[in-house]
Amino acid sequence: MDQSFNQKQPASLEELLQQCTVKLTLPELHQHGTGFFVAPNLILTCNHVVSGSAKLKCPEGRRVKVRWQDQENFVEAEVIKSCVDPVDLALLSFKQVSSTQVPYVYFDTKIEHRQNLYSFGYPDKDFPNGFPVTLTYVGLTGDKPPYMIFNREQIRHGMSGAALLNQDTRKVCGIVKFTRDAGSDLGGGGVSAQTILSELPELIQYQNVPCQKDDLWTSFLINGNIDRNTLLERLRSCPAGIFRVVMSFLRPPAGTLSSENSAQATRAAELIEWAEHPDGCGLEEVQKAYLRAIGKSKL
Amino acid sequence: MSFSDENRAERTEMVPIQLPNGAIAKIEIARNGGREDVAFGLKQFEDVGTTIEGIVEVLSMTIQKAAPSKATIKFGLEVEVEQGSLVAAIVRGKGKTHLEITLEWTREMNQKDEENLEEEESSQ
Repeated sequence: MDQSFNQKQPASLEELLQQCTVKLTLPELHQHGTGFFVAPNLILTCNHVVSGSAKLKCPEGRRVKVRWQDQENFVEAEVIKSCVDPVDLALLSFKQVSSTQVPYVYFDTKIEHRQNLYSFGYPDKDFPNGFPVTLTYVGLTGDKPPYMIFNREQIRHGMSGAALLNQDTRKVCGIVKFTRDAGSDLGGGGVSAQTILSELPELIQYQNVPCQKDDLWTSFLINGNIDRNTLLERLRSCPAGIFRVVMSFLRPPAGTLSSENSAQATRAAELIEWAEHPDGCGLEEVQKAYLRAIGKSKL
Repeated sequence: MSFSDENRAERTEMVPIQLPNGAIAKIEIARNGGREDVAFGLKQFEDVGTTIEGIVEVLSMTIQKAAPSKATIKFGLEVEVEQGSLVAAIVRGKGKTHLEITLEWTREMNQKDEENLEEEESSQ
């Protein structure tokens, strides 16, 4: 692993997603696809990228060449878990080098019709160093589990395993799996974050924001519409009555927060942590609830 | 947007294939669209060979039942990708792909037939 790599400071969340993305190659099978970091030492991709077929389970321990940014031989990863169709996911592990911290993505299961998705992958031709696409989410298929369908962009071979960033929630909502026509902009389909976290629950522990060193992803959430620290501070210091009203609007599941006898500062931090969890309501909802409680339109 | 194969303009694309001896070649295939997983991998040309073997086997069994003296089979195939594998299809109405079978029977004459033929010739 090249330890001298200097990671460029990303200017946007889309650029950070590119930095979370890797090209996966199996030289002996003359096969490649895309993947992305989901933890400090884990890469997620589709099973068919590493097995050759979505119906064929990838043998555990299979070695896969990983390209990260411009490092063609960044590391060799090992398949540690795979799920065949209809889930079609594979988890790869690699040895970390302490001097090289890779960024990784955060998931959010929320997605709505017509939201824009951004993705970055390694197609089979024309763009060997990666190619971005912007897609529009259409909805879910009737399959079990359902596939996400998106359109308005060409999904070429090699894009399997690319992360789908929901540009509204600013988190990853799925992974590219198939095209509807590799030669046109009919779009394609993917496996949803709901299915990913349900099939690979070990990933949830990495979703407790902020848990990354130099957490760039969270900094982009803060730099978005919602200032996390400001919101947390307001919830900590607001009158107890206001906090109770916020809680009544949001109704977090029982057991999520400490008892009402605990300090409001503790409960506010727990509320924010729950909101940022993939199953939580999101910071935007917390902000809306707080503003509604105090009768204002902005912080 | 259409789910139908009809009205789709015929498109072709050169794709790399791997031959059984490991050599890499390129083949022009028909791209008819449709759902397909999008990892990139070399297609195995053996799949097309298996299809040709199957077609020849079925046709030869049928022809053997008819017992012709001579049989000629001509067929053209269009190769496309389906579920990530190369698939050979006999497609009607495109001119370049077809199935044509010609059977010939030659009557073998025995000694009696030859005598009768000689008699006919001498009487003339």
